[in-house]
Amino acid sequence: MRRLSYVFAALLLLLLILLTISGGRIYEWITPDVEAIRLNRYYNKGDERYIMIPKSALTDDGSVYVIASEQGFSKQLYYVHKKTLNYIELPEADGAFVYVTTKEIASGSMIINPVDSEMHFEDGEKVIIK
Amino acid sequence: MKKRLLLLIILTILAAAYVFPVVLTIVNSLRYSGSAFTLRQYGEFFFTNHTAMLYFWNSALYAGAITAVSIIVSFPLGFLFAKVRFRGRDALFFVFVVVMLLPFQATLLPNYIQLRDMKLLNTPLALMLPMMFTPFAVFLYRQFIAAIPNELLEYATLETSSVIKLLRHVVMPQLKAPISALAVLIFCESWNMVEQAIIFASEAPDIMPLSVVLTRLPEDVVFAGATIYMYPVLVVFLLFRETLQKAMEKFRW
Repeated sequence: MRRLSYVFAALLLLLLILLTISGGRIYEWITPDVEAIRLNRYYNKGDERYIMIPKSALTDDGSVYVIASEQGFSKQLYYVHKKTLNYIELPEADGAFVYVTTKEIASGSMIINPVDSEMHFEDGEKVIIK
Repeated sequence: MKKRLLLLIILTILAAAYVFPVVLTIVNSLRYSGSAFTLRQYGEFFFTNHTAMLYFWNSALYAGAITAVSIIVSFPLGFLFAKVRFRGRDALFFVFVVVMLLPFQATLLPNYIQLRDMKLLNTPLALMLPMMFTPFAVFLYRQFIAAIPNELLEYATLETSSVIKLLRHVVMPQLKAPISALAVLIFCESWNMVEQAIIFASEAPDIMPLSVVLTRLPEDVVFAGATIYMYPVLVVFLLFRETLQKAMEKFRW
């Protein structure tokens, strides 16, 4: 019993040392890293302001992954939330972008860009910004 | 027989009351956002909140250093009170016992002033020094050393005139049980320090022990943190359990 206690204590101690040294690195390893853009480009038409979202940031079903951040215990944490948007058709606008009103998404929000078809995130999943 | 059964039931209820918070902490550490029996909370603790482990090692450093120094420093004092005759010895020992009985909060302000004057506030030493000189260790040593027969010490003085050799080779081997008991008790006390850290190191958040930081952890990992926090105390207890039991049996007021 005593010997078992020693072995158990030693193993757990080793594990704790290992996790202390490499905990941060493991987080970086297991968390997907993404490229993010801040939505600070907009287009004014009359009194209305439209946020410009690159088409490369849209998922197959036309949604975007919005990144929310929160100050964690050890570092700034980033979470993704899928958001479906209603786009506005602007005939005169640039074809590389889609346009949404500021009611749909706030100016200055961060989204994942680019989104490839294999990219899929659970709601609230953590990501690391490259 | 009935009396015995009743006693057994009462003792079981009392034991359960002590064990319940520990079991609850461990069980809750295996839950995460409603899902049961998952190690996710530990994953979040070690990976997402990985810097919390630095505070764990702060605690380990403080508790280890305090335990080691207390055991070494209190030993000659205990011997002094037990075997060396000098004027005012009993009065001085009485003062020691009174200081031992004082609640920690009573000595907090004098300790703070002393540490401030020594310019040690907000340093690791501020958390360790006041706890390194514990009257309880001196008291426990004194009680055990007093039980060592004087004849044995007199015989040993024929072999050597060195007090250090006498203490090391004759007295120390007789004190394995109290040393183990002290190791467990002092380690647990210093591992659980909270007020000292909050008051003596209020402007140095990086040197805080885990006992203080535990409350600042995110809610969803706090049980995993608390379980990790319990581990060293459980290990120390498991390692010294037998000798601690012996010391308790031998102890005489």
